[in-house]
This record gives sequence, structure tokens and C-alpha cells, in this order.
Amino acid sequence: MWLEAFSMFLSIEYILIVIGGTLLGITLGSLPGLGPAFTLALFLPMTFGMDPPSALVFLGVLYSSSVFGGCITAILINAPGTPGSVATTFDGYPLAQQGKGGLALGAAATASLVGGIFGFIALATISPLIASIALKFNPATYFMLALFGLSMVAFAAHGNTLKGLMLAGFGLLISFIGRDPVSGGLRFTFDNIYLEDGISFVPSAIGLFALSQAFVLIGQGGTISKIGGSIGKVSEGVIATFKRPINLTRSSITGVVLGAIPGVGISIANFVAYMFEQRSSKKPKSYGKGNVGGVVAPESANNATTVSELIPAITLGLPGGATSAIFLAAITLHGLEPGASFFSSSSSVSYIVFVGMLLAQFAFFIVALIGMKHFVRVTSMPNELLGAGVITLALVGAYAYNYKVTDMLIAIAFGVLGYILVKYKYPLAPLILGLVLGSMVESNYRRALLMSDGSYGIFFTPIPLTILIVTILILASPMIIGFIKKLFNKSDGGLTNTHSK
Amino acid sequence: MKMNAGVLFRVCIVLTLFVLIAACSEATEDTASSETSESEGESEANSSEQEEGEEEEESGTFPEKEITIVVSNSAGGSNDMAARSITEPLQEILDVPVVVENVEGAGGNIARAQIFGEDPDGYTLLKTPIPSMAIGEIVEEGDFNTLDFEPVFNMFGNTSNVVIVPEDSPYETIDDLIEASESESLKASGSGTATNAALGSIFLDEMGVKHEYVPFDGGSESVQQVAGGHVDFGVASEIAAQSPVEEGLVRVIGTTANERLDSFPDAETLVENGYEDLGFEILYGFWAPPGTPEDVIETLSEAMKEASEDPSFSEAAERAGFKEKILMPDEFAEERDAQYQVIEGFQERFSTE
Repeated sequence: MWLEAFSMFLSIEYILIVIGGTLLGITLGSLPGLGPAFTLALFLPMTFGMDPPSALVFLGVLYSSSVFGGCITAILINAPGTPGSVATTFDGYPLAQQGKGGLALGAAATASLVGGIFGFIALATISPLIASIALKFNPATYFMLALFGLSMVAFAAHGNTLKGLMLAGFGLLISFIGRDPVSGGLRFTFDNIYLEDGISFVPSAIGLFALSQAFVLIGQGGTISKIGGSIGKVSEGVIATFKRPINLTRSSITGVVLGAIPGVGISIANFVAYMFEQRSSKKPKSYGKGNVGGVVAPESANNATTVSELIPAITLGLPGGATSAIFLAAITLHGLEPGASFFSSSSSVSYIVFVGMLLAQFAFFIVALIGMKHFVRVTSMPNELLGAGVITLALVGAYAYNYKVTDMLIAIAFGVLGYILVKYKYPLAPLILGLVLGSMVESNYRRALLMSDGSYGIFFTPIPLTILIVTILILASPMIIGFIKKLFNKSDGGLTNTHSK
Repeated sequence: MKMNAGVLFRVCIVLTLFVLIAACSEATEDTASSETSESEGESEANSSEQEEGEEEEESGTFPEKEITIVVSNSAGGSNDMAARSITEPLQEILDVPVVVENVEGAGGNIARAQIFGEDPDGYTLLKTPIPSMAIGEIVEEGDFNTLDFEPVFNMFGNTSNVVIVPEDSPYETIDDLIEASESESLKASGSGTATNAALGSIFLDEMGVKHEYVPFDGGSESVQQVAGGHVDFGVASEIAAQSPVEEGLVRVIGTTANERLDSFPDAETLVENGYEDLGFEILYGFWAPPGTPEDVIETLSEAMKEASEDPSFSEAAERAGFKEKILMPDEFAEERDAQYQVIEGFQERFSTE
């Protein structure tokens, strides 16, 4: 079946669909605010007239390449196009500032390719297993996962722990605006109907990252790249990435696992992968200042997440996020049945779709190799011009999210807030983590207690308890490792001392 | 070389902008395409008016410009797809462009409140399902009156929510649930607090199935909890239950519909159990602002009826899994009034605080 599907792609029609979809996907995905969900929703109605295989290949290609596109603006202008690329900015943007934007993009493209292939292998081989694990998750498990996600604040704060905690708390506060998810009551809406749904993540992230960054750029003047004209070689990025096989494998697996859990996925996988990378490095201090490993980790994780997010969507009909929900709708609309039998059914369409997605990984990799060195020139453009462009795109993106002027206002408010925070050297990522995970923490905590008749025992059943222990261990590991090292050093030191005597 | 790269870069920027413009115009495709067809439509309308002027005198000059249908949910959702399945044949029949606009938010209440205050001239219509609209007004205190909206035409129905249990659950009927709830505390999942699923939960409670209703963010999340056996049963829309049922993850044991469903004929209704009031049918139809003239509504409903006989309508309906239920204004009003009364009766039972 797989072979037959591969041979389909020898026809010029499919090749054109893959290349065209990739170019569109990268472009739309790179624009702050548009991103994968918007791109898919935009093109879904257009595919009604196409035959199912080409329509689904086109959408699958758009899906993969638009997630990749998110890293371009994250690296080059510090404005992540998708929530999955927030951690990419930590090291990607410093690299761009050092005139190594090309290197960073090359690394991101390679890491995304590898992550995508990992996700694909998981989807094709172990999806029934992963899907059955996802079914075991109850609200108590989701609560612990969200708590785990919040613990990432420690890393997203870049050493400013106090400021990071403050902003994460502020993010949580904002997430409580709107209807109470469990009781249905209104909170902090001030009788404004537009606040009933809460503050949406997309416009606030656009404001916080893209708009505030535009203000910063315009204020700074000059160019992003401090070394005019130099961009670093894309090919060097490719090589640098393959020199990090452990990082690639670990981050991709992290992405696959987190992506397969409905509702967790993409927004925390990039932080977790980044954290693992920094933790296991011999030079943790070099992260956040332009270490290629800090680009490789989040990018391979987020692309692995993209593909594995489809596992619960396709095998169980349970999409994990907005993007996979739209993709699932597309699959059904074109006459395919999601379910465990998706791959065993006689129709070869399902295979063609996934081969198309696999090829899309290679397509955006090739496009990146050829095109990135031109994209990178953005970093030697006058910041005033760049800033003006970013402001336009950001506001369009905020509006396009829901066709509401209110969302533009939210983006502007967050843009001003973000600018002030950046000026006073507050890290922005913890605020986003608080905002994204706030309702997940709160609603699942309350659901769990409803389901257990108020008993806290539900949080200490095996799966939630394991996640809690892992969270604590990860948080405490520097202390534990430090303690062990101290012990060793002491005995070591003791030994050398006796020797010298 | 440097020149070349510079030129290429500029080309890239232009291309990016081009795509963006294309994307934006795509997003407003409906408006754009209908704008072009508007002029055509108008000229056609003018010529046909001149030709058959006398014949059409009795139906008045309505409509003479484009008609906007405001959908209370996001593009691509079931309410939206229902609206879009009739627009093409409808604009042919009315000879004016019919534009779909999505105004989502606050569970549909933003769109409902907006159309409630709109000019009652028939050029702006609301597409929102009931009983959701009644729940939105009564429970979530929406700024409109469901009973004052003018019913225009209903397209789809014959669907409701279903009661699902995990595949290996010991419960086979609603009676089993009632019996079990006497000795143990049952938990149920559903999507949201002021929703059809919450209404279903209230119905079951009324029948004697004592349980704790746990609201989730969406239908699929709630079905996942049933499939994983974390709750005893769940209330879900037919669409959300469909593929998990086919996968053998959950079983359907009952429905909140008034009559048995085509898709799950073995699921007993609550009405069969002797509770006449405990049933609702989700109706997808069009509403006009209060005070819209009767002849305008008549023109619209007749045109929609004609449009619903067009094969392209049935095709679109089938593709999205809708079942036709044609109701003219009077019948539609009756259904609306009956549903409103049921929900009003249960107002206090929805949890909002």
C-alpha cells in the first residue's frame, strides 16, 4: 500500500500540489497570527472541487509546512508565527542578531525535517498503541500535565525566576476572564459580551510578541543583524544539526509523546524539548545567547508534535487542537472515515495523504535550503521599515483570526504591555504559558474533584502521580545533581588532598 | 551576485504580499464574488423586472439588493455548513446575491443580539439553531428575545443528542441508569454548561437518573472521557458520537430526540419512557429581525422552499450529514414556541453560578 502511494507522487500533478502547498504554507505560517489553523480553514472550502486524494494531500502539505513557517519570523524578528515556535526565539533570535540567521534557519529546517519524519514513523507504526494510552487520561491527568507545562516557567524565565513567576501569575489571571468553564458564571467581563469567551490566545500572542517586537525594532533603529550583510551559511546549519543526533532524537520523541495527548501538544512540547536540551548540555550557560542546539530542540519537537497530533484525531476521532480538528473535518468531508481502521481500509487514499505529508517535510526542507538566504536579508533591512511591516501584518493577523476589531484592540493592548515588559527586561514566554495553561489547570482541577466527589485521592492515582513525580524531579534535578556532584567532589577533593600530602 | 540576491529578495517580498492579498481576498471570497455577481445580478434583475414587471407586481419589489445571512458560529462548523448549503440555489431564485457572514462568540449570542436590533427589512437574516438560541437567551441572558424573532424557514432537523456509555459498561437502557443511580453516585460528561448536552443531562435528572454532570470544553473531549471509562455515561451530539461508536469505544443507549433517530434506531427516546416533555430536536433554520413585514417573509420562505428542492441543496446536505426537515414560518414558530417553553421550565436547573 505504501509503495503504491509513493508511486502516485511520480505524477506531475501531485508534485505541483506538494510544491505549491509548501510555498503557500511556509508563507502563511510565517506571518504572525495567521499560522496553521488559519491557513487550513482558509483553504478547506477551496478543496471541495478537487478529488479527495489531491485535496487531502494539499491540505496535509499546508498543515506541515505552515507549522514550519512559524520558525522563520521567530528566528529572524523574534516574533513567533505559531505558539509552537516560542522557544525557538530563545536562541534563534540571538543567532540572527549575531549575523547567523541563515545558520539558524538551516538548523531549524533540518530539525523540522527530522522531527516530521519521527512523527510520521510514529503515526504509521504505533498509532493504535498511542491512541489507547491517550484514552486513559482523565481530568486529574490533564491537570498534572498542565502543572508540568507551568513548571516550564522556570526555564522560560531565563534566570529571572521572580519576574517569570510574576508574569506567569499574571497570565493565569488573564486566563480567568470570561465564562467559568465548569459553573458557567461570568467572571471579570464587565458586562461586555466580547469578553465572555475570554482573552483569546492568538491576538494576545500577536500583540505580546509581534507588535511589541516591532515597537522595539523601531525604537532601536539600525538593523537586526549587528554584522551588516553577514547571514551565516544555511548549509552550516544543516551540518550543525546532524552533529546533534541525541538532541534530535530526544526532542523528536518528546514531541511525538506530547503531541499524541489530545489538548496538550504543540504549545508546551517546544519548551519541554528546549528544557531537556539545556539540562543535558555541558554548557547550559550558552543557551539563550545563540546556541544552535536551542533551535534544533524546539523545532524538531514542534514538527514531531504536528504529525503525532493527528494520531488521536485519526484513530479515535479525537482531535488534540484547533489545527488537527480542522484537518479531521477535512478528512471526513472528503469521504474518509477516521478510526482505527483508517490504515487497514481498502482505500489507498489514507496512505496517499500521509505519503504526501512525508514528502512535504522534504519539500519545505528543500525550499528552505534554496530560499532561506533571501528570507534572511530581512535582518539587514532598516528596522524602521521592518517594524512598520510587522505592525501591518500583526494587525491583519489579529483581525483575520476571528474577523473582530476587538481582537485587534487586544493585540494592541498586549503589544504595549509587551513593549514595557521588554524594556524592563521581563521575559515574555512565562506570560504566554500562564495564559495558555490557565484554563487547562483550573477546569481540569475542578472536573477531577467533581468526578471524585471532592476527594483529592483522584490526583494520587498512578498516572497523575507519576506525572507529578516527574515534574518535581525535573524541577529539583539541578539541586539533586549538584548535591551528588558535591559529594563526589568532596571525596575526590579528599583523595587529592591525601595524595598531595 | 549581490544584485541578483537583492532582486530576488524584492521578488520574495512582492510574492509574500501577493499571497497575503490573495489570502485576504480569499477570506472575504463570499463578499468579493458576490460583489461581482451583484452587478450582474442587478442588471439581470433590472432587465427581468422590465420584462416581467407586471407579473411580479403582486410580490412587491423585494428583494432588490444583496441579502446577508449572519451565521452565529464559526466558518466550517455545522451551523455554517447548513447555511451555505442553500445559498447557491437561493441566489438563483431570488436573483440577488446571498452572502454568508460569520459572527461567532458568546455561544452565538453576539450574532443573535446583533440581528435582533437590525433593520427589519429582510436583507439581513440570522442563521442559528434552536434550542441553542433559547438556551442562550434564557440561561446565558442573551440580549434578545427568541420569541420575537420572525421564523422564516427551517431546513434541517431530525437530530438530537444521544446518551452514550463505555463499550464495556453494564448499562443497556436508561432504566439501568436510573436503577444504578439509586445505589451509587453516577458521573456524566458533556460539552459545556449552557448547551444541548447540559439540557440532556437535566432531562435525565428529571427522569430519575441522579448524577453529577461534568462539563468539558468540547464534544470530542467529553466523548473521550466516556470512551476511557472515566465517567459512567455521557451526553453527546450525534456527530461527536458517530466515529467512536463505529470504533467500538462507546455504545448509544438512548436519545433526547422526540422520535427515534435514523442513525441509531435502537436507541430509545426519553419520550417513549413516558416523559412527553423530555425531548428536543435541533433545528437549523433562518430567522428575521422582529417586525419584518409578512410579505417579505413570505417571499423569502417561498424562495427558500424552492431552493431546497434543488438537487445541489440535497447534495450539500448529504455531504455534511444533515437530514432535511422543511418547515414554513407557521410550523417553525410552533416548534420554536414549544422548545422555548420546555427550556424556560428548566431554567433554574442549568448551573450558571
